[in-house]
Amino acid sequence: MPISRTNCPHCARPQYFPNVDLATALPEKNKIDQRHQLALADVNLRECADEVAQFEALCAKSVAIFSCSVEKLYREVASGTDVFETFSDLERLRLNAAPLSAYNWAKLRPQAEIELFGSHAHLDKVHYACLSLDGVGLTSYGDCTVELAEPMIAHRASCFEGNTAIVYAKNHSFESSLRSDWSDRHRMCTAVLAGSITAGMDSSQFPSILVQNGATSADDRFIEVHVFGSMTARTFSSVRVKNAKFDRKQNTLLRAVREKLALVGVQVK
Amino acid sequence: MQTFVISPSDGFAGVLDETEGTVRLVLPSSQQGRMVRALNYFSRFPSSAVLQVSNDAEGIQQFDTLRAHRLALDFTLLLLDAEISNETRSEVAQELDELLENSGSRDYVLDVLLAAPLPVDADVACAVEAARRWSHSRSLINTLVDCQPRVRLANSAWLSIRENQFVKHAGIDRVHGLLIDFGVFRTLVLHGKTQQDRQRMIPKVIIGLKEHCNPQITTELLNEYFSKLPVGLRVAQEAPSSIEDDPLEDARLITTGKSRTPYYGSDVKLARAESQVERIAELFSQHQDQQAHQILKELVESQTRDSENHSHVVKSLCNIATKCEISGRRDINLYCLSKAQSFTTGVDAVLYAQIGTALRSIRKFDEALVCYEKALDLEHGEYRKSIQLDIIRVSIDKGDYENALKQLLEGVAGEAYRPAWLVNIGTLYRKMGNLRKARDYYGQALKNDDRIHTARAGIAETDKQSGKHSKAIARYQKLFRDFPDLDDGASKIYNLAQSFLFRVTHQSQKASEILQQLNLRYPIDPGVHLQLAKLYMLEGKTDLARKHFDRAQGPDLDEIAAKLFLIADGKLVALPDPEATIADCWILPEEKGLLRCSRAMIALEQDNFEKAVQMVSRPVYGDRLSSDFGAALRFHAQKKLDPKFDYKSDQVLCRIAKRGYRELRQSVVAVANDEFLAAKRLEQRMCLLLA
Repeated sequence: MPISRTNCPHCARPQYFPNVDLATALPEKNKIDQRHQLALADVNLRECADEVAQFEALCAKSVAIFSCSVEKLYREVASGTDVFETFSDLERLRLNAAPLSAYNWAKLRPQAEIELFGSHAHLDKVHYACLSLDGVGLTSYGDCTVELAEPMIAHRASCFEGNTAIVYAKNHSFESSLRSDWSDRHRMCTAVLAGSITAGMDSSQFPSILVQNGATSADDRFIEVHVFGSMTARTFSSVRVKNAKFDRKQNTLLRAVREKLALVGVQVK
Repeated sequence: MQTFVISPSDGFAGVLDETEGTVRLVLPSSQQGRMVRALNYFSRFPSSAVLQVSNDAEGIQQFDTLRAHRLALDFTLLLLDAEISNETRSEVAQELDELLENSGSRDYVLDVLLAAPLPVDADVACAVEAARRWSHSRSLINTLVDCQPRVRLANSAWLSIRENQFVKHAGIDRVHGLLIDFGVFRTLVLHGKTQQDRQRMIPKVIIGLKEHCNPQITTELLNEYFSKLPVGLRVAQEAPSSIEDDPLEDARLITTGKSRTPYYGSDVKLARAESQVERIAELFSQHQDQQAHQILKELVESQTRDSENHSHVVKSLCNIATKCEISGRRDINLYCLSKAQSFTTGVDAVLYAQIGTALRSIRKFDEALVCYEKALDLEHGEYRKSIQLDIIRVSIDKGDYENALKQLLEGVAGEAYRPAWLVNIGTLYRKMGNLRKARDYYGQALKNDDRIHTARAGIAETDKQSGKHSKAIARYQKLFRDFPDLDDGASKIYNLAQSFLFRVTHQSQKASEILQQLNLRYPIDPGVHLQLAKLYMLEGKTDLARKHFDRAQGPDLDEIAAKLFLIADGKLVALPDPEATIADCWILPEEKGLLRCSRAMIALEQDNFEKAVQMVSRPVYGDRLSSDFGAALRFHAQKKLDPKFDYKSDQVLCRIAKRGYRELRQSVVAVANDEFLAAKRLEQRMCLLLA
């Protein structure tokens, strides 16, 4: 089946997720196996196999989270209603119609996404998140942190070693980076991060190994999660809002968001 | 100037360094100064807007404006959301009211919300109730609800044209986005209420968009929309949408004793001014100047009476100027623009750009440049690109191709890879006679977009210029086959080019068929009449030719082509000096060759052979056929000066005599045999065949 297909050409059932298909392809699996073996050999030498095994077990239960502003959170939560989707799509068209800037983003972005998803057909269909053990993620993207509900994303999420944008800007290729499907994310975490675990390390330190906020975005270390397709309030399992100073309008938005999330049983902490 | 990227929904803004590929964050303030990779920034915030600003403060101001617009849209959608409590909804209505005090936010919301009908799950009743206490919110919701019948018509008109060839060619989503961005749906729905409003709407809708979108698309949209408007919809079916008609508001006014808000007051004033502008422009177009001046005086008085800010009167004058320019009153166009310029406040980039364009149209290029430069100083937004393009156009109009090319090659912010841009460069190279480069650029444009017909026409023109007329005809024929739905303007130009090629290849019948059809479609087009005149003259139908030549007279007539016709008709005409500078005369570089030939013809007629030789002794610019014509005329004059002069000593003449263009071949042979009268007739035919 061509990678750009997201539904079956015979029965038209939607069931394909190109990011997952690519992550579960044999060469990618082999890459993970190889790096995982190497990591295990190394931890045996460093005598921290138990700690790494514990880390891997915790990573198997890791969650996908993303941070955003209140305004963005409202837009995510409001998705799924006809009123919001009709007009937010039109607004997006309006923004996209603006003349292109000198910075050739429109050219660069498809290149990166074609490399990543095998086709340009999936631009704008991917949500970015990161793996977390304690519900804390990259702090720089906003005051609201959303944890995604595993049943809503497990079938359509893939994981990637690091920040795709940074990797692409550096290498113009993703060949040397690892990717996995959701169910194999723990092995990828080990393959990528086992080197940071030392003998005698306490498990309370593992969350900060999985997500390391750097001084610049290039220094952030994390496992990126790509969730293919749309999100609504029901895709969330919980939302955490930092005690930030919001203005009156943001507070009104937050209040509306709380109400909408409460309707689908999502708690705002 | 710096490039600022803003992402209001995400709360981020920063300065883009294109060379380094980084963004220095300015907002949120907690991350000020942090550097991020541009690719990372854009992948996380794909709906970022990119602007040119002079400093961070201006960038932050733009951020705040766009944030307010987007928040206004979010709050309007929340107001219509069935899932929120009435308490929150009422809070939302209050916040929205504050945001809508800015008319820009109101327009932004209406641009988007009037582009599609409200879905059935929109909780209109609750929204109306919640907005009742807040005048701006209430007005917005009332407008939305009241306009729904016309929104459905506008949406249906868009759905009817979206499969149109031009729309597909430009990209359905892009065209839709542009129509929303330029407020076309808003303008149509709010102001296009009856079929009678159609004419009035055309300039409103088309003028802003014409730089970005084929006017044929907007015309089609208007046709579709107005054809769907039932007669009488304006009065009978509309619910009250303004405060004067709103019974709820009337009740509130009675109970509170409050006067009308300034917002509504200015709305009414605005509507009145709009109708006065329409009326004035109409009167000027009908040459009822006295009455028009009287109303104009009243309008200026009313718009300057209570305010130190003259932006409204300046805008009104600009609008009248635009409408008068369209209706052919260039004098009034300039009058209104200079009157607008005389105000001490309210003068903006748009006014200066408009004055620049008006001056350009009367060939006052240096003055136009000054105006465009002033417009550039005042404008820091997206309109800058349009002004920069106008400056390039002035260089082209002046014949300063080198400078225009330099500017085109440098590109204007992000345009350099666009096919249309490449075509512009190709055309400039073609005009400069560098046909190889021209073909390269046209080829690149086609590589990027094989549906860009201007590039294919450009390649046909390079063939024409290099004397490969049959090849050029074949290219045009293929172009017409591949693009059956060309817009009117392009179709006319390509048909004229094709008729020229048929004429020059002696296929008069085919040329005539094309011109007859064009004449039916464009009965007052000077270009069509001039071509018909030449064709009839070639066929010996002198009276008919002169009749069409008379009809071609007017300000838009191609001066040099017209003079060539007169020379062929045996008349001695005054011709400008081909070496004259722009200050003395208006001659484009590619026209110089033909002009030299014409002057040589006149000199031969006056037996001034030295002058004739002098005129055509220099290489002729660009076009192979004109160049050969010049060589043939030179031979004619040289032979007169020196009867022993043999063309065989000249390689170019040898080539022409052997395998040159038919009339030129015969002319060289005639001159060689001292048959000067026959040569003259052939040279006169050449005047009709060329240009």
